Amino acid sequence: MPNAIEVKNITKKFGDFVAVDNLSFVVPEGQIFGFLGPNGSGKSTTLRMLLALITPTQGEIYYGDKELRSNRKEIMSQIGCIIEKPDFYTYLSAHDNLKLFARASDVSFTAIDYKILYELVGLKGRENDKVKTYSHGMKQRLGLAQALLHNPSIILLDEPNTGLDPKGIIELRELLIKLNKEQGKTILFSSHILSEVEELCDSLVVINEGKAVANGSVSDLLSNEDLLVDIEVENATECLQLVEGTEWKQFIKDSSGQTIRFNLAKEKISKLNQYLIENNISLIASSYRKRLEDYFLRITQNKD
Amino acid sequence: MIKKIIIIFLFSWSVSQIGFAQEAESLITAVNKKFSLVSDYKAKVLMKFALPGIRINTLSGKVFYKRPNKFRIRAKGIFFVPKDNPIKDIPKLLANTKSYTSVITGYATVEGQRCAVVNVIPLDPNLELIIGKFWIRVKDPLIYLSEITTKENGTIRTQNFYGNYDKYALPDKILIQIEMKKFKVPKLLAMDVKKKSKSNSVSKKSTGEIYMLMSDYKINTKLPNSVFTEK
Amino acid sequence: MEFVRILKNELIKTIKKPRSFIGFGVVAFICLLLQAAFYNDGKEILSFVTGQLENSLTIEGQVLNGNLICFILLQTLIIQMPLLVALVTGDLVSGEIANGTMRFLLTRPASRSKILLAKWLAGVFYTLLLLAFLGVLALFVSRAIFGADDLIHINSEVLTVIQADDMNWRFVGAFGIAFLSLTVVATLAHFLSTVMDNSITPIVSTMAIIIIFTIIGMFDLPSFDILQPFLFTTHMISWKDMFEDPIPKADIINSCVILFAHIVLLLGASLYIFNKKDINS
Repeated sequence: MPNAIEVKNITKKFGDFVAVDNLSFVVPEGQIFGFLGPNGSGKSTTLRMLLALITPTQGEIYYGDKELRSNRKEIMSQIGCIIEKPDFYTYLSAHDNLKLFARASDVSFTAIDYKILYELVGLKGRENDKVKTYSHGMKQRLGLAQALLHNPSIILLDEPNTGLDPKGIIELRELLIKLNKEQGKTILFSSHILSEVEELCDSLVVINEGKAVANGSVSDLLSNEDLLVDIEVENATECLQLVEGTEWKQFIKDSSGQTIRFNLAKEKISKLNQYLIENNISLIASSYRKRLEDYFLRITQNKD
Repeated sequence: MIKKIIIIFLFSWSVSQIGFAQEAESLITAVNKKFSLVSDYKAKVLMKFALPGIRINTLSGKVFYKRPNKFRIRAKGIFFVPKDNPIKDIPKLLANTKSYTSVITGYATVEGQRCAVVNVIPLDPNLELIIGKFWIRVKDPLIYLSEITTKENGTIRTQNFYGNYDKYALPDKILIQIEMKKFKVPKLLAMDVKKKSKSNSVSKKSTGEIYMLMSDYKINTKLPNSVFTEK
Repeated sequence: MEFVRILKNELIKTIKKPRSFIGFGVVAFICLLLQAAFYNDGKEILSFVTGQLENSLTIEGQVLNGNLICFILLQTLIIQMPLLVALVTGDLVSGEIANGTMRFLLTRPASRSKILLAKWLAGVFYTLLLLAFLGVLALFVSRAIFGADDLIHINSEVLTVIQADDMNWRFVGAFGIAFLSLTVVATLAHFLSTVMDNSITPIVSTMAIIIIFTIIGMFDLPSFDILQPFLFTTHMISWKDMFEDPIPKADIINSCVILFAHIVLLLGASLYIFNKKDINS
């Protein structure tokens, strides 16, 4: 599969501070690619280098077979992006803002095209309002609109869920799936809502302190990961006595109050629940932490 | 004996002074007679200026005069005339013979003409005029040169050059010289932060000159007063 | 064509920005205020200068006229116009960086050089509009109120009377030189805007530089003599030479060359810095 984006050994130093340290990863074409990292890990710096907003101290970035610095104009015509919070000319309306960006991208939009776009991002009826009257979520939607304006083949989104209500999050998810599956767009997607990343992304990279700490397909990275399952019971003592001496004891992580935490594979959760019910243990609730969350915390905290 | 000589000398000098005074009076009377021939006139004028600290181009306009004291120069633009205008003031001064005494103090040649130098001293010491000096041609009297000294404005010197209108005492050319302070404005007020001095084409003298070339006199045409007041 | 599109965007943004209207408001206020003041008290104000002459001369003609008022209003060029120009041009780059819109602008398929040049041209166009507005108010409105007659032009050495028929082309020349001067201010503010990341500092720095250079230009000290010919503030008042008689053509050409050189140098430096700049905000 050809690569949409290839990052080769990029480093960025600001004085003595190394923000990104010899980072390499590839974004396969036609995938939704997760780009994760804790705050201050170099995510934003890397994204800015991908968009030629910042020049790497070392290393190269390729889009397809074209190197970014030498072919910037051609490459940027194929990229749509939201970097950090979307900022607009607040003294202009949303429509005027989009017209500016369309003109800058040499895109000729008809009134119908704009109408479809506003409907797509959920801003229909508000396009002639000044951006300074927009909420954060509306600005996020407008940001998405400007990213899609010129029908790019690659979309870079930096925390696009920020500020969106639950309905907006769902709509965004559906939109990204549509853009990827129906139109074959490559999407590089950064978010702190790891459940969304796990749901959407085909592959991902995790960076910490400027370095890649994990890179690959989601299923491969999480295949060996157990879940943390919290079982809340009416009588924890009774439950602990029950599992003492059974195979389940080895999976106990810890207990606190009425909650006992097990570390086990997903397919074993229902068997554990069944065992407890059959032995008259009153279950109040059973939940498990997201795998990616756990994985992420594990690999980023281990590096501290 | 010596007393007699002194008395005879003083008597002779007094007689001569009376003679000079009477001669001065007759010269002024003759000049006034010529002035009285003109009730009003208008003429074309070309004015050139050489005033210290002032640059101004040659200007053409019209002069209007009406006895006893109406005078106006109308020209397009901004220009300067002496504050005490001799063209207007001299006929008026000399016409009022009871307000001054006059005496010839000597003779001189001006523009090739033999002139008596007549001093005119006002009888009222409170007047603005201190003294007027006139170089009047002896034969067929005309004022060729005058110096009017006032308390406030110093001395204005006027030289007349006559041609076709001498019987009306109207000169073809007039040169007026005025005592002036050199015009100066502080650099900051003039926003002159850049300039080094280079005004070498401007007169550095403290005497300003206005040169008037008169032509096409129209005399006694009954000029209306509005000519002197309308804009 | 790409440059034309980018330039159109920059012109739209510059003209529609609220702070762009501040300049026009201030110019209108100052012009109308001074015109009202001269209408009421003009003769008293002028007598401060012409009083020196009135000991021995009478000034004939309409000294207080529209041409003189326009000339006086042009004097304020050194005071408020640089600030009003810098207010807009100092914000063109750094303002967008601070607001975050620069990162969206630079992710479009247009070269940084073209974007910067378009911004500079938009700033120059704003300068031209503001100066034209001043011209209309200062010249045409003044002439409508006070009429037109010869201009009495005063410098510290000499008073020159310039004939009314000569005024139009002199004013065209004066405004042309004034435009060049203000373009230097615009380019300076634009340059500082590429160096800094907020919109206030370039504006304040531009005014500080103008004030410092003006002070250096005012003092006749040997140490400053070497610098003065090369300071743009020394040549910013060259428009006044259009009202000298004779017009010092060599001086005017020299001033224009110095001002133009400033524009080229500052713009070149802006392009270099902007192309290398990391956009971190």
